[in-house]
Formats: sequence, C-alpha cells, structure tokens
Amino acid sequence: MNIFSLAGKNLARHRIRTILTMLGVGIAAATLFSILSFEVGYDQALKEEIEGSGIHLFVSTEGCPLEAASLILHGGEIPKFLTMERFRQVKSAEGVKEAAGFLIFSLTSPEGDKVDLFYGITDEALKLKPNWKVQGTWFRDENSIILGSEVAKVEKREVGDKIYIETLDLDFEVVGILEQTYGQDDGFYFLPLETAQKLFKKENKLTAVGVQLADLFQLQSVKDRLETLPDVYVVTAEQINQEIMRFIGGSKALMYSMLLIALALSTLGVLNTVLMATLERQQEFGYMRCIGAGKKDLIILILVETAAVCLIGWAIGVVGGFVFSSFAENWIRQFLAYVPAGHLLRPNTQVVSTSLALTMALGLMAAIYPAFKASRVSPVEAIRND
Amino acid sequence: MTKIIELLNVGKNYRRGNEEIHALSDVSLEARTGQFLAIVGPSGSGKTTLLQQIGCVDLPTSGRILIDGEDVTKLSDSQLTHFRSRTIGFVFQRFFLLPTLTALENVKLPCVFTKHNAHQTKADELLKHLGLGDRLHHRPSQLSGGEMQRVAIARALVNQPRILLADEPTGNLDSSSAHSIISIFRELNESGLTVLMVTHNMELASMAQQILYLKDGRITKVE
Ligand SMILES: Nc1ncnc2c1ncn2[C@@H]1O[C@H](COP(=O)(O)OP(=O)(O)O)[C@@H](O)[C@H]1O
Ligand SMILES: [Mg+2]
Repeated sequence: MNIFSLAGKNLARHRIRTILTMLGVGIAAATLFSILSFEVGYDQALKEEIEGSGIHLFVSTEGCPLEAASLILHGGEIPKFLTMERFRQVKSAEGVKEAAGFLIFSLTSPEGDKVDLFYGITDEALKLKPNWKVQGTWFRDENSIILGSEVAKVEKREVGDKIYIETLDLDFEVVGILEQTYGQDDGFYFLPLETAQKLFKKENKLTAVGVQLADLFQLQSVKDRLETLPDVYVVTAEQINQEIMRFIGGSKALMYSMLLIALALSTLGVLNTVLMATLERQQEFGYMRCIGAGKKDLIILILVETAAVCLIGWAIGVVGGFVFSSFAENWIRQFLAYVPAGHLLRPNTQVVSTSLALTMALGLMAAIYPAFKASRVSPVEAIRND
Repeated sequence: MTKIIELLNVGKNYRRGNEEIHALSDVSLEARTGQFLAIVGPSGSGKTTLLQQIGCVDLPTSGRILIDGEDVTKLSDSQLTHFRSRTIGFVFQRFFLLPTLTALENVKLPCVFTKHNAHQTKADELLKHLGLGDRLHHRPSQLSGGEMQRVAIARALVNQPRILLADEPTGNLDSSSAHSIISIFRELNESGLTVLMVTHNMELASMAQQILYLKDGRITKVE
C-alpha cells in the first residue's frame, strides 16, 4: 500500500464519474494535440509545397500577391488576363528555365449547389509540379481530361471512362487521374490549354504563368526583368507563402478559441469532480488525520488523484488524436482558407510533451482549491458523533 | 511507573454561534505506563473531547498536556501529526474503516502516512492474532461489527503506539462482541500498552483498573 494505490482505489470508487472526467480531459487533450500537430504540420506542408512545386515566380496581370496565390494554388478567377504573347516572352526571358501557362475557370452547376474548377494547362505544367503522378496518360487530344483524385472519386470515374460535364454540356475522355496530393489539386478538372481557351471563349488568354528559374540566386533580377513587360505583375513563392500565412491567421484564431473552450471545460470538469470527491470525503479525511495523516498527506493524495485522472485522460487524448488524425485533419481543413498538399498534422515529440505539460498543469491548477479544502478539514469536527 | 499522560487544568471551549460551550473545565489527571483507564459519564459530558485532547487531534483552550513527558500544547500542527502517528492509536465507535479498502489494506493505511513500510508486514500478523486470518481480503461491508472493530484495533496498533485511545468502542456492538473487544483491550494492556477507553457501559468499565467519572466537563470521581 502506498499513496498511489490509495489514490487508485479512491478513483475506482466512482468509476463512471472518473471515466467521464478522464474522457473530458481526453477530448481537450486530443484537441490540444491536434492543434499543436497542426502548428508544426501546416508550416512544413506549406513550405514543402512551395519548395516542391518548382514554381519560383508567379506572373499575372497586375493584382495583389494574394490573388496570384489563390489563383495558381487555390483556384479562382480574376477578369484580367495575360496574352499568349506575354507567355512566350516570359518563357524565353533570360534566366527562365521553364514556364507553364494556366487558364482557370470556375463553373457553378445549374442547381447552384456545386462549383467546379477547371484548369487549362500547358504540357510544361507537369515539369513544374513534381508531386504530380498521373495514372493513365497525359492529354492525347482536345477532348482529353485529367481529373484530380477527389473529383475522380466523387464522379466515380476511372481512366478510359467518358465523363459528361453538365455545366459545359460536353463529353470528355478521362485519360488520366492524378494520384492524391492532399492539396487543392485533388479537386480540379484539368484540360488542355487550347480546349479551355476555346470553351471559355478566352482564345489566346491566360490567367497566370508559373515560372521556374535556372538559378535561384537570379530571383530578384529575373523578377525585375519580367516586370518591365507591360501589364505584368510578378510575385515570388516566398511572398505567397507569407501571404498565405497571414490570411490563415484568422482561421487559426478560430481554432485556438475552440481549443481554449475545450481546455476551460475540461479544467472545470476536473475541478468539479475533484471538489465533489473532496467534499464527500470530509469525514474520511478527518479520521485519516486521527490515524496519522498530516495536512500534507491529504494535499498529496488529492494531487495524485487529480494527476492520475489527467495523465490517463491525456493518454486517451493522444491515442485518440493519432487514431482520429485523419478525421481531425478534415475537421481542421474546414477552417482553412488555403490547404497545402501533404499531411497537415505532424506530431513530434515536442507536441507530445507540450500537450502533456499543459494538460497536467491545468489539471493540477484545478486541484489546488480542493486540496486546500482537504487540508483544512478539522478531524474533531469531521468525526463528531452527532 | 512513569507518568505517560498528564493533564494539568485543561479547559476546552467550543463556540456555537454566540454561545460558548465549556466542554472541559479544569481537568487534571494522570496515567502511568501500562494502566487501563475507563472514562464514563452521560452523553455530552465531554468524554470525546477529553480523548481528543489526549490524542493530540485538537489543542485545549487552556492548561497543559504532557504525553510521554512532551508538552504537546507547544507543538505545531505537523509536529503533532508526527507525534500522534508514533504515540497514539485511535479506535472509534463507528469503526471508520475506508470502504474501498480490504481489511488488510485498512490496517496498512497508517503506514502510508508514516512511511514505515516495515510495519506494513505486521498488518497480516495483527489481523491473524485478532482472529481475522480468514477475513484479510474482505471489505468492511462484508464484515460484522465485531470484525470491523477488530480491524480498527489492528489499524490502531500497526504503528506500535504507546497509548491506545478508544471512544465508545463497543457502542455499536452486541454484548458478546463487546466482551470480546474488551478482552482484547485487557490482553493488550497486560502486554504493557496503556489503554484509555470511553464507555457508557458500567459493566465494561469495571474491567478497567481505574474509572474516571465525567460530568459537565469536570471529573467528579475517580475510583
Ligand atoms: N466541535 C464542537 N463544536 C461545538 N460544540 C462541541 C464540539 N464538540 C463537542 N461539542 C460540545 O461539547 C460538549 C461535549 O461533547 P462531547 O465531548 O462529544 O461529549 P460526550 O463524548 O461525552 O458525549 C457537548 O455539549 C457538545 O455538544
Ligand atoms: Mg462522545
């Protein structure tokens, strides 16, 4: 017998209450764990995407970097277009290794319940998207279409199938399907550039051009050179990165406020349970004092009981966080204006230890008042016969 | 023989609202090592209060209390706790066993606080000695009143105290259980333990070497 087994038996006394409190702590710990994992994962995923995309500069008509970012990475429309002439000029500019043109369109279904995003792309796109793996083949003719993995799943199409696009009233042949990137590309329809230009009546027009440099050290000079072209605006991948970080700040704030609520509720849950467990044991504490327990022993007992609840709750939370990480990832995605490719939740040892430290600290904070209460029990009062 | 308990003009007042209750007034007594004392008196006469003063769970309003030569009225709370756990064993009318612990674990409980792990091994032996060898792993709810009180006695003895204090230990027991509890006290007393027992029952009190009569917080007679 020691203080730990004693604490364990006390917790087992109200099994349901103890388990519910642990689950409450577990939910808060899982939220904490997921959000901390997200803090690590999002920045990494974004960096990897920008670095891995092979696009160093984005060229569009004048606009803010944010627009350019959402255009090429996220999909969206602006009513201004580059010409094919600009594209050829950019492509042949000094220091440019590769350039790919994009024409982006969104179509709302007749019922208005669904928006489809179409990308007209040139063959060079494949070189600028090293993370793309196409099942099947690249475009074979103007009726070819390549589907993002999510689109393929929703439309239930395989390579070789025909697909009828209602909004366009046209049939296409699915020549390729992109393997899952976990990014925005999973939700797009890809068409040959000329097909897109014809369909959307934007002959010779482009939304943007992605540029890969021969030498990254030339970044600034190439940027300056391209900006001398009329109507051309150039942003760097780094600028886009920062821009994205800035504009998901709001979504993060929302997530953190939910975390705060979860933590507050679980702390109150712990306080409630521990306080109840203390008040209902006043008499026990009284006779324990008569048979040798000091104030300190009672304080330690309460703290050990609370720590056990929090530790087990935390373990449940972290295991749950791992098990339900794909669920949590999808949940977090909903709050985000921009989702990079790859996994968003990347727990590491620091995430594990930080969540443990915070869970324990909050739990023990909740135990302070009950422990103080227990230490104030007067043995004389507690064991009186009347 | 040496004086192990000495009370000098002890008074204890309680406040209940505006009313001041003199639970003990000017009580002086002494007990020598190895004595068996019974304290009798009507309900509300201050017996429990007296036992609590001697047991160092509470401090008197006035007077001095010397236990084993130590003036306990001068000790701090943590010193009192330490002193109490080494010197005093308590037995209560309502047993006060932890419902979640087995008989054996209840007996070991005081060692958790004193951290005398060596004493834990005695628990087993004590229970067997008190005839509870086949009840070691039973919970209080599975024991009879007499059995529960024997577990409580084992618990009071596990830290090898010098004084055993019992507050109406037979009050919740039938007469045969009560007699067996008293004979345990006598046996313990014969092996050298100082025993103070509060009781209502004159027949049981007469088995002690000395009887103190308490009334309205004062000792009225010593026999
Ligand atoms: N903690 C307390 N607060 C107020 N009054 C108390 C307290 N403890 C005992 N008393 C009062 O002191 C008197 C003596 O009580 P007690 O020692 O319990 O008597 P006994 O054990 O002889 O029945 C009673 O009048 C009782 O009501
Ligand atoms: Mg009493």
